[in-house]
Amino acid sequence: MFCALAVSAQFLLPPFPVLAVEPSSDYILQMARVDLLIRKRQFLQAADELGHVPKLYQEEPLFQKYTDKVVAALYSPKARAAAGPGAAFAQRDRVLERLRVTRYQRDAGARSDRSFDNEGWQINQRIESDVQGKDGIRAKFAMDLDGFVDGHRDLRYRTLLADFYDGPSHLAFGDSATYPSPFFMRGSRLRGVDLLLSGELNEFQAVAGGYPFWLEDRDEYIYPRTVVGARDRWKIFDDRIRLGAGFIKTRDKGRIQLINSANEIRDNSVYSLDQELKMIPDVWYLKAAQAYSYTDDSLVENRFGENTKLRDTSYRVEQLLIQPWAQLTSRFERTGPGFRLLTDIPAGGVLNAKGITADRQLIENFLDLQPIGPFDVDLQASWNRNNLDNSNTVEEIRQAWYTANVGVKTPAGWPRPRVRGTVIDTITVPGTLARPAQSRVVDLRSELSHDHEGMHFTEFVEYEGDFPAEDKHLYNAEEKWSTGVRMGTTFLERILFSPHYTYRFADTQEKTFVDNVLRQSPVESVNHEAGISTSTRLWSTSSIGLDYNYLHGKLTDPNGTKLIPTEGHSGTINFSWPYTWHPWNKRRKLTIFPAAAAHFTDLTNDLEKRPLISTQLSMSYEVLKDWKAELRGEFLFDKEKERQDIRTAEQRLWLLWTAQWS
Amino acid sequence: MIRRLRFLLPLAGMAALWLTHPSPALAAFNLKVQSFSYDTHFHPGESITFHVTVANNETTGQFIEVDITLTNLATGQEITLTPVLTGSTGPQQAITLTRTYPLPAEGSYTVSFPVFDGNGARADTARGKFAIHIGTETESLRVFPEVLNLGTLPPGRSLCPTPFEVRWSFFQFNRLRQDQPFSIRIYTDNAARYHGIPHALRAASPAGLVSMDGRYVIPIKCWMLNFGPDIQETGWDAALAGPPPVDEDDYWLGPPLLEGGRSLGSATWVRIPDLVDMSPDPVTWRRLMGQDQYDNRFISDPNLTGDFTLRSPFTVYLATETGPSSVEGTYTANLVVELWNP
Repeated sequence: MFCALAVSAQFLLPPFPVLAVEPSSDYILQMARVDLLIRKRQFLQAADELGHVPKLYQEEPLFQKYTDKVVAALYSPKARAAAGPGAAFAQRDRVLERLRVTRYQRDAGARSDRSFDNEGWQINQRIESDVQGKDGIRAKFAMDLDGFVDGHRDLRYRTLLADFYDGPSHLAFGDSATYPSPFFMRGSRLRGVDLLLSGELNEFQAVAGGYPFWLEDRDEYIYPRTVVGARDRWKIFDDRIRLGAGFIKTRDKGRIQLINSANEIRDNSVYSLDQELKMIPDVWYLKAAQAYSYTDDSLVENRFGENTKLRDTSYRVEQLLIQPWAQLTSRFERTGPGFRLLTDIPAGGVLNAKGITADRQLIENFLDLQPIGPFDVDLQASWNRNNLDNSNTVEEIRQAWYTANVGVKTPAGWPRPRVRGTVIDTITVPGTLARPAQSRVVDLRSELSHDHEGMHFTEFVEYEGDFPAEDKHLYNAEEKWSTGVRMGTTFLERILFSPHYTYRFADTQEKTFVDNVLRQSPVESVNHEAGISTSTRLWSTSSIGLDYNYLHGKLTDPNGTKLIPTEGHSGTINFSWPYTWHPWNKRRKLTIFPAAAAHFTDLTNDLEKRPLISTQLSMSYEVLKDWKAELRGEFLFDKEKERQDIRTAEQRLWLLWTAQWS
Repeated sequence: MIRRLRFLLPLAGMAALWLTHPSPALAAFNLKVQSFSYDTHFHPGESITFHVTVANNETTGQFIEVDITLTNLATGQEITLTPVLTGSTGPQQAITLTRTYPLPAEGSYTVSFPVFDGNGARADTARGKFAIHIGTETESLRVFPEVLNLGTLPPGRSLCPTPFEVRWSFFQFNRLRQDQPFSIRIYTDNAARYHGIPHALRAASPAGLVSMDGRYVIPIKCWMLNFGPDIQETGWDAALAGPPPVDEDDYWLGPPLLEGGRSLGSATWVRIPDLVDMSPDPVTWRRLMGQDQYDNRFISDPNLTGDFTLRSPFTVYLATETGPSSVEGTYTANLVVELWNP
């Protein structure tokens, strides 16, 4: 089940000088080669390529951007350090200070999430300095202070760092993070010692310390997980082969249960190897890593006397094959169910967890073919599964994806077609009651775009079918068709006018459970959707936009079980004015960005009958590489039309002051 | 004299404690819950069966009573299932008690197993790791508004002033009577309209806003409450301070690493992929929220069911980045928010 949003934007006034002449295809190719060389970190060759760009194009922003990148890379501290002793003296000492104050207030209605119905202040202060020491060694000191007033008052230091470095080699005390290989630290924030010695042929790293956790109710840091580890990497055969090996060991203390009493106390060791091979330079690259982990999953026996020991492996191999006619990227990854790599302890968010996902196997292949005649084809085939040890208590999910993306290059002025097709085979064992255990989803979408007398047309046809693998489940089949057209044209170089129409036909199943028995009945629905979008530049970079949509057909009811006849209108009006002014000179920048938007819909789902208003004002004044002051405010309000208790009003205010001295 | 009195003070304190503290009640017998089992997902009107094994660690035979207690997660109301489980066991033996009960009203309930001896004294309490969920199958998804006009994009990074809301409901369970995995993911579907620049050496991704002529792309990133950042790591309380500033690389690109570069996987503002960038590997998806107790990425000791849902509706913010190579024009995208379950 999906909902589609149409998003549009205008990039009207480029902030940088516009090229006075049309770029030639040779110039575009040169820039593409430079881009590729920069990505391959071959900066000398990129500089050489930039040197061959005709003078005509050397004022062009893209040329200047790449030149800046290449010069910065060639003359970075690392490159200067490699150039010889004394070169690093060119870098200047600097001190950076940043203060951010945030004010938040939310008034939620009865049916909104009350846990966020609050108000509070947040203050973040950072001071950072980078100074020159003896013998070319530089030192970086950083401190973060955070304060919160949100029902609980606390003031905590978060980062205390003293980092002594000479080019790429570091000796850091305090809070640091590192991610040198997939099986080592993975960006975890360590409080302790972090040593990185980087030479031309060898790189050695050692870490020791603990993962800090701030206990808000006790106003103190605890160190529930200690960590020690080391890794080494060698570059051999003129850097055509890189070999690495490492180990990392973490051990929990009983204090981890102060964070949550459900936390188990664990001991975890991971031994890893990694390889990077330039099998054939510029043609075939191979990257691989292997790891073995041993985990005492419960250092303290629980009430049932269970004390689990886990041992498992993880492998990953990635290859890149570059041919004149195609580029193939392949990846294989297998991580056993018992593999663990313990990292720092997050306070809440789960999406950015740094650990390795256990119990899965993955194969991916992406083939990007060079155009064959008028056809441009990209292909993808991937397989993924879990439950590698075939456990009866785990739902096994196996998926195979096949995607083809085909474009047809037509002569100038002709319609341009493009087709995307995806087939997804899914097997779930034992699966849900509401779907067959094996099914195939076929999704085809084609678009045809063309210009006619200043008007741009896009027509599309989409087909989506969901078919069970076995005939006995045919009652479950669902098919959807949609087709539509979108037109866009500009009047007086200021007004953009874009009407659209979409027709959708769906042959689906209504699913209800009566006495725990699934009852399905076929339902056909036809939806017509039409709308008009206009946007007009008012003055300077300000613009106002108006959208109106009309829907006639069937939508899922609020309980998510039935399709009910629907006729609805929705509308949007929005205004924005991103304004940038350089008073006196290019170093000084004043930015003002007021914006406001209001939406309304009256679709028959009662919870959708509501307006939403959002306003934002952002103002900043900046002297580049010197100081910056910024004030930003946001106000959001939404309300259900017929019920007074369903509403939310939310306002935030951000204040920023940042300054740096050399 | 005063010194001597001081010396006596702790003794006086101990005596007072002895006098005022009542003697403890008769200690309960040593009975321990060894194991228990129950299914966790039901439709209204079904019945539930509990198996509880209690060990008698005493040298004499004991009477055992287990009062299975359900606590409603929304209201906090406790329900003791009747009739309670009872049985007798010999010395140093275990007994398994089994009974089937009708289910209470729809909702989610935690389970605890208090054990009482023959004197009515509480001997032990075990708590179930998984709550019981009773509900009707539902699956719905709505976004609001359905059209977003971002206006004129300013140079550099920019937080789009108009967030959108996602309203959802989902309740399904599998044949193991465990939560059916699901997630709400976001992606663009632009592959059919994106053509790219002729003769380009490298095919760019169609993820983002595509120019009307299909040649250029402006990437979009998104933020919602689940993306954090982690307050322990950054000092930014997302529930209070909302979307983190797009101008700061720590949030836009990821926290800095000692060896240089950024921890890209920990970035708070995350790129919205295109459908053709995605594969069956969920890591290639942009999951806004969901639940999957078979994906170890989301499982932790306090969150055994891999639940990263947010109450409906939740808000999603968008941000764009234009640079020196961005080309003037009008850009559009098909942005898809999808509720996926296998």
